[in-house]
Parts: sequence; structure tokens; C-alpha cells
Amino acid sequence: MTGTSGELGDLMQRGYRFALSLTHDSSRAEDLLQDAWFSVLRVKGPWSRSYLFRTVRNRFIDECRRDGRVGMETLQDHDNAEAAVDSQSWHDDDRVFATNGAFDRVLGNLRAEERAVLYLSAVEEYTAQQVADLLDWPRGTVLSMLHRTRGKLRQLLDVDAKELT
Amino acid sequence: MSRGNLRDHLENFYGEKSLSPETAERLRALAAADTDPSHRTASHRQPVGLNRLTGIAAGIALILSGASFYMVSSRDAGGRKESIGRIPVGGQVVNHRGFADAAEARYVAVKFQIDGCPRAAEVEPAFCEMVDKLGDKPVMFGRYDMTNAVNRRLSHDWACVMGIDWACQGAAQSGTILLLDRKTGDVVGKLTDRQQLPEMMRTLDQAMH
Repeated sequence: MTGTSGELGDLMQRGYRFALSLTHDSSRAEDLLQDAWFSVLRVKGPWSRSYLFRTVRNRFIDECRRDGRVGMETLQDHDNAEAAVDSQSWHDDDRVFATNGAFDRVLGNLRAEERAVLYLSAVEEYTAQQVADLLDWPRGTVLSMLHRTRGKLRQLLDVDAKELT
Repeated sequence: MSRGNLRDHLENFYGEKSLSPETAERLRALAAADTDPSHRTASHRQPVGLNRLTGIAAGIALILSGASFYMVSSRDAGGRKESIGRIPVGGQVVNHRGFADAAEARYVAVKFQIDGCPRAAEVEPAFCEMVDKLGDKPVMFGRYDMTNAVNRRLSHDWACVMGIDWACQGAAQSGTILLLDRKTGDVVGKLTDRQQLPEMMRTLDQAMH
């Protein structure tokens, strides 16, 4: 274990937010992070963001399998959508969004892996290749999922906004 | 309603979420215990330090580890008897000072058990009696439950934090009691159902001298 207390706190919060992106439930995210934390301690793994994220994700998959839930799935058949994605697409819509409560609701309608890809890309600012390495997916799959998820999220937000008005 | 791009909104949304202070404190304590060189688990066969930090971390781990592992007695460093009774640790309020002191004990007597195992049941009365009679020794008594995967996992996590996982990984059968020296990282005694209580007590006593 290396690093200052501040670095550790930052790592912890990032790990929690990543777990939250997977579970979309604060108490489950805390459990997941604790589980992953124990794993890192047990194997004396490095205290790095990518290692912790990978451990959190593996624990999440284990949990899904154990509970018989549908967990992370790859989208091998969407690899060819890479060309449709460009790096500016995060900024192509300056538009009206719903409140955080509605945003929470809409995110809850996404699948775990969709939220995870969104989180890693938008908040952690991982490149597609870094996300692909972390999730063990091909880069094309990550790009296509990112593209589809952004579209889906916008669509859901539009529907939600219309319902509110 | 607010205006902005999707990335900003995601950043704001996740940026507002944070880990609860209690959980953060627990994780910080566990990580801090890992910084202590004396906390190395004995898979490296290094002596285990018995400082207070390790003790506190172990106490926290005990709380986290659920009811599968619970201590049955302790004695503080000064030799004063401090019985903390049979305390199931899962989700219950415990005496942290008691746990920390118990975790500082040099010797740990671990009973390996599986629910329904006749050997474990046979050793149980002798184990309880030892807890009562060896109250004046610097020894912590504990159980390592191997009944199912969850209990094994929880017990293993506890043992890791205590620095005694080297002795608990597949080495002992249900119904066996191992006496471990946390300072030197050695198994100093092994008790089974084939031994009678006086013999077990003698073995423990000799091991500790």
C-alpha cells in the first residue's frame, strides 16, 4: 500500500462511483467496493485505479452469476459501428436535460455495462482503448456501445422530459 | 431543468455521489493496516507485529466478517482478565477496546469447524473449557468456519487481516485446534479430537512457555 491518505481517499471515491455505475444502487455499490477492497488487500495488489476498477468489475460479474442475474455481456456483433462514432459527440448537443432525480431514473433504465462504459468515458475520461482493456472487450465494441448508449440516454431523457411537461 | 452537454451532466451526477464516511473509515483502516510491514501475512512467513493498529484493523475486519467467526475470550496486555464473552460479530455492537486488546494477543487458538461435523462437535466442550481455564494466558480463541463457501470466504478474509491465513489455508481439518504464534509466525501446537482435555491443556501450556 503506497500513497498518501488523500490519494487513497480519492481512489476509494472513484472505486465507489465506478461500483455505483455498475449497480446503480448506493448500498450495493458500497458492498461491492468493500468486497473488491478485501480482494486487493488479500492478494496485495497494487493500489491503482485500473486495478481497483478491474477488481470491482470482476466482483460484480461474480455477484451477478451467483444471483443468477444477467451480468456484463459483450456486443461482438456491434463492432462495425466504430465509424459512426467521433470524438466530438459528447459535445454535439447543448440541450435541455432533466433534473438529477430524473437523470437518476433514466440511468437506472440502462444496463450495467452501458452505465459503466458511460462512466469510464465521460467521468474518468478513459479513452476507448483504456475502457476496452479494462472491460476485456474489443475497442470497436466499446465505441459502438458508447455510441448506442449515448443515443439511448438522450432518447430516454427526451421521453422523460416530455412526460414531465 | 438544466442546460449542458451529456458529459457535464454525467460528471455532475456521479460527482455528487460519495462513499459513506463509516465505510470510508473502515476501508481506510484496512488499507492502513496493510502499510504496516509487520502486518504481512505469514504466507511470507514473517513475524506478525502486535501493535494497536493491527488490532484495531483486525477488530474492524471481525465486524465485517460476519457471524461466521467470533472470539470467545481475551486477556489484555497487562494480564488482566477481560472476558468479552461469546460475541457474534455480524452486525452487532461490540466492545472495540476488547476486540483490539484481544487481537493483540500473541497466541491465537483457532478451532476449525464445519456445522454438523462430529469431530468438531466432539472437540467443542473441551474447547469451551479451555477458554475458561486458559483465561490467564495471552491467547485469543477463535473459530474458523468452513461450513460453506461464504463462511470460508469470510473466515479467510478475517484470517488474512489477522495475519494468520498461512495457517488456515487448507492445512487444518474440521475438529482441529491450532495454536498459532503471531509473533514468530509458527504453528506451536495442534490439538485434535483424539486428545483428552488435560492432554490438550498441557500441550497448549507447553507451547506457550
